[in-house]
Amino acid sequence: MTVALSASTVNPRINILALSGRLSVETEGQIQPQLMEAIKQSPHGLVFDLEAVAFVSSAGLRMLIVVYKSAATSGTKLAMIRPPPEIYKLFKLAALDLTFNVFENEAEAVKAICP
Amino acid sequence: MDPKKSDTNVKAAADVLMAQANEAAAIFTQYDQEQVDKIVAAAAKAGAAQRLELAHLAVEETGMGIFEDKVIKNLFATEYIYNDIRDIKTVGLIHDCPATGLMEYAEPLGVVLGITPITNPTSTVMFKSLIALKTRNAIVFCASRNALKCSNEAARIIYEAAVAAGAPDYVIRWVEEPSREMTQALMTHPNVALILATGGTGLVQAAYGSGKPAIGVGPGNVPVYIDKSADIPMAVNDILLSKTFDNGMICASEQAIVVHRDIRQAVEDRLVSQGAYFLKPSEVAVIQDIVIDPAKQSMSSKVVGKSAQYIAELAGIKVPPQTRLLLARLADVGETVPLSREKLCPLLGYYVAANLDEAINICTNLTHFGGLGHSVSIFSRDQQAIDKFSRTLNAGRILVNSPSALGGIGDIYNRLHPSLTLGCGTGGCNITTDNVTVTHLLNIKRVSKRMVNMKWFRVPSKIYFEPGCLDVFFTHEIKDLGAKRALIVCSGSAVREGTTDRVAAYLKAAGIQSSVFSDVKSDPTVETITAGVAVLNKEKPDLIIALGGGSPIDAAKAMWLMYEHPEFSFDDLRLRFMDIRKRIVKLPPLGQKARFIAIPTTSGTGSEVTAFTVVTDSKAGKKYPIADYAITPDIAIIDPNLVLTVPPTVTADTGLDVLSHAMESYVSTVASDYTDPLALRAIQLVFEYLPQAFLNGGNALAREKMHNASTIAGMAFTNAFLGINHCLAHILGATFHIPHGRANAFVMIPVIRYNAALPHKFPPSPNYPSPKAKDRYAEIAAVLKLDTSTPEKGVENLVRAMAELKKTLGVPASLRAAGVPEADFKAKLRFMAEVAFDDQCAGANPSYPLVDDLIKVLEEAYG
Ligand SMILES: NC(=O)c1ccc[n+]([C@@H]2O[C@H](COP(=O)([O-])OP(=O)(O)OC[C@H]3O[C@@H](n4cnc5c(N)ncnc54)[C@H](O)[C@@H]3O)[C@@H](O)[C@H]2O)c1
Ligand SMILES: [Fe+2]
Repeated sequence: MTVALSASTVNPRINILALSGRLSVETEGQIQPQLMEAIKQSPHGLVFDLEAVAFVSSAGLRMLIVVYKSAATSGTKLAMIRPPPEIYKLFKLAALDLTFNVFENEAEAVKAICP
Repeated sequence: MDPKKSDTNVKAAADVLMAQANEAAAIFTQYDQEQVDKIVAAAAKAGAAQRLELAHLAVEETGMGIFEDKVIKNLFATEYIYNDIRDIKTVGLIHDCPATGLMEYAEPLGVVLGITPITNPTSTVMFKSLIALKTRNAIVFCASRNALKCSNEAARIIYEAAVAAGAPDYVIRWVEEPSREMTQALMTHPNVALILATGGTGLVQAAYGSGKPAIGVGPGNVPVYIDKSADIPMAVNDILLSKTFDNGMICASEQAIVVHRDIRQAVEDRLVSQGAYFLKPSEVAVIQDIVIDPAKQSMSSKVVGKSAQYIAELAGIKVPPQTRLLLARLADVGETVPLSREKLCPLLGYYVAANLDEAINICTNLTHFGGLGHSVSIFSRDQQAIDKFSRTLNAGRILVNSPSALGGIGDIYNRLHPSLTLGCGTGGCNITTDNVTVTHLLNIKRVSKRMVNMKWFRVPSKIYFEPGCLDVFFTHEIKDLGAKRALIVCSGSAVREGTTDRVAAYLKAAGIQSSVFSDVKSDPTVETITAGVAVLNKEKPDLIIALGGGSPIDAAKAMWLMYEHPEFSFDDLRLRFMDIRKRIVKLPPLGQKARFIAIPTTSGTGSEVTAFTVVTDSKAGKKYPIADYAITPDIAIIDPNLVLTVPPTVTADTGLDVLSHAMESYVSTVASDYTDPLALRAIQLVFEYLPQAFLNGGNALAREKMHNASTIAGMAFTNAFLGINHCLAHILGATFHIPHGRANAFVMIPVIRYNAALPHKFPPSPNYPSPKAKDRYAEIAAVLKLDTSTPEKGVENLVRAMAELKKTLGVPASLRAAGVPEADFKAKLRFMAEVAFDDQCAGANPSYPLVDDLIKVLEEAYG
């Protein structure tokens, strides 16, 4: 799994974190600190771009929940865009689609975080 | 503890289990078949490896059953189950059938709630775990309180192996502190997709009552019948084996022997020699209250899975030391006979039956006493006895010549699916009689591709044409038919013209006897056909020659049909159908008794080549088209010399019939590349030659072209069918005695206008994906070299050309102009529209007609 942080072209105060690869037990240990760090660098809000994510494991899913919880305590707004259909369906089945604040595209997500 | 508090604790615990399982099920949806198969293999291997430990644990904890047999059950639940399911596709696309256009995709259910019994604790848990894993479902177990430790241990072993092989975390969960409240909380939990319940009646009912989808399988009360043809040593061996296996705890094990009187002694001797003990009447009286709890009216947990020796001792009965099985002679089935109930221990009821029927009735009584739909067993070498037994008894499994316990769970003695959850059908208040397996834990998603129906092109195998072909045929070809006796069916005109005599003379010269049925009037009636069939039955011809206009040919076709197949009634034949290939009344081929030659003397109906005949019911005032390819004539002779004498009005009427056949088949929803050229050519010929034939009946070329046009249009519409033009013409003709072709002409223009407009209702035909009629009419106009710069112009010009043609032929412009009284027409309007709506020909019309649409068309035709 790799991550890449950049500023949103829609609103540069918001950051986009592009995730790619498998979000699973092998990667979760190293990824979680990177996500936490990204949150820290994004006081106005952070959007996870899941377009290139191939698989989410149990551990990966729970890590996302932990990350969202900690962002909530620090008051950072998070959203998620473009999960592949199988992964969006998984979020839906796990009743996490609302928690994860999922949007179709960057503009919508940015607008929702920072109206 | 405060009951309220314990309630919330239970609910919280249920929520945790279900949330975990739900998450696992969500994650599991991403797995492919290969990953799943790897997980199932690892889990099966781990379960099999722990067979001994788990068997020990189960015997220790429950105090029931036999260690060695539990080992077999544990192996069965892993090795046999795995072998059965390993190659089954359970992920993604699992079936693909290009021939039917059906594809099946597997969708997991989500969270399964597994409820497992005390009788087969570890094996049932492992079995359900494997089928859940194979289908990408998560499973939460709620084991019997008295088998909790061993059941949960089995779940843990499978779970850890599965996770190590890559399964989602929490894919298998289990209840640590079981209670009624917990079971209830889980059964009604929103996350549960399916309850898979194995146990007693109470549990199964609770599962079904929870409001969740459930596969609950309940108790049996399995009778085994030993027929007089049975292999006795085998029967006794199998029953002992089965009923002592794990001390009789498999629900499919035998509960009562029913033996045929003729072999009773041999069976009893054999039973005793193999270690069975017949209880004395006094002993039965004592033991029945120990085995069946008198208060609960069901088997006592004190005896379930105990040995025969143990149970005898419990009742204070001394039995020989080698005793393995107890037998209680019983006279009846029911509450007054406690031992006629299910008892999962090595004790069997024993009945003697005077014959097969009585034996089956005893078995019926037993199954109806607490075991309906489960299993029954028979030892017999008489297939008829086995058939009768199987036909009568209601049981999901009917085991033949095998131990029912090991037979019922499948695979070892037969090819049933191996399973530890045996469905009992509605007899046991279950949803299925199957041995439950992976197929029951999937949602099957059927992808159905649009399929177009096969079409065909069928016409008589021989069609002769050119002037004089009648004579050539009857002087040469006729001999090849090898016919001995012919009946000529014709009308008065054919007799008058001398054609009938000519044909009869030819037949005589060819050595064929013949007689004549000339009693056919226009629009043949049921009565005419009945009279004709009587003649056929008397004369018994092997050749039918239909000679004349559409009326005698149609009459002869209907007569032919009734002659060949007297079993069909007129009512069967006129039954309306949607698809000629799926119709309820199927006609076998004709030709067994007679071959059929059609010789038209008008150029109109095309009946000489079609699969249709129109019969008039004069009493009901209706015309019934009968359609079936079986009534297509074998040979058609299209000799234009025969039509030279047709009077001008008949020429006009029949010619307009040709035109409507061709027009309707061209715009039909089943028109095809095979029929289109025929239809277009016929239309061209009619527009060019019908006026000439009408104005000068002696114009041989015009007559020939029209005669060909008639048959060509017939070939088109027998394969592409007609439409509402004919529906309306049929009823108009019958109501106002208008000749068929003329009736068609009266509605033709309003029909074109109606069909060319946007349909109010689309015809449900897969071969007709979008409305085309307007463009098709424009194509016709183009063939007639009319202005078709827009489709609308094409349609309008076609209508105009049609009006001109009618005028040339002296056909009044409207029904009003033709003198149909207005009051009469108005009074019958709705009735006619309704009859037309139900006419067989409506099916292929490019617009599915509403009755009100037909009324409007008729009104327009009235003018
Ligand atoms: N089977 C089908 O597919 C089909 C299709 C359309 C119509 N029909 C049915 O066909 C019947 C109409 O057939 P039709 O239009 O040929 O009429 P028809 O057979 O009733 O003949 C019309 C009249 O012309 C006379 N006639 C026939 N040949 C003659 C000849 N060579 N010289 C002089 N007179 C001659 C007849 O005796 C009759 O009086 C109707 O019952 C109609 O419902 C059947
Ligand atoms: Fe016709």
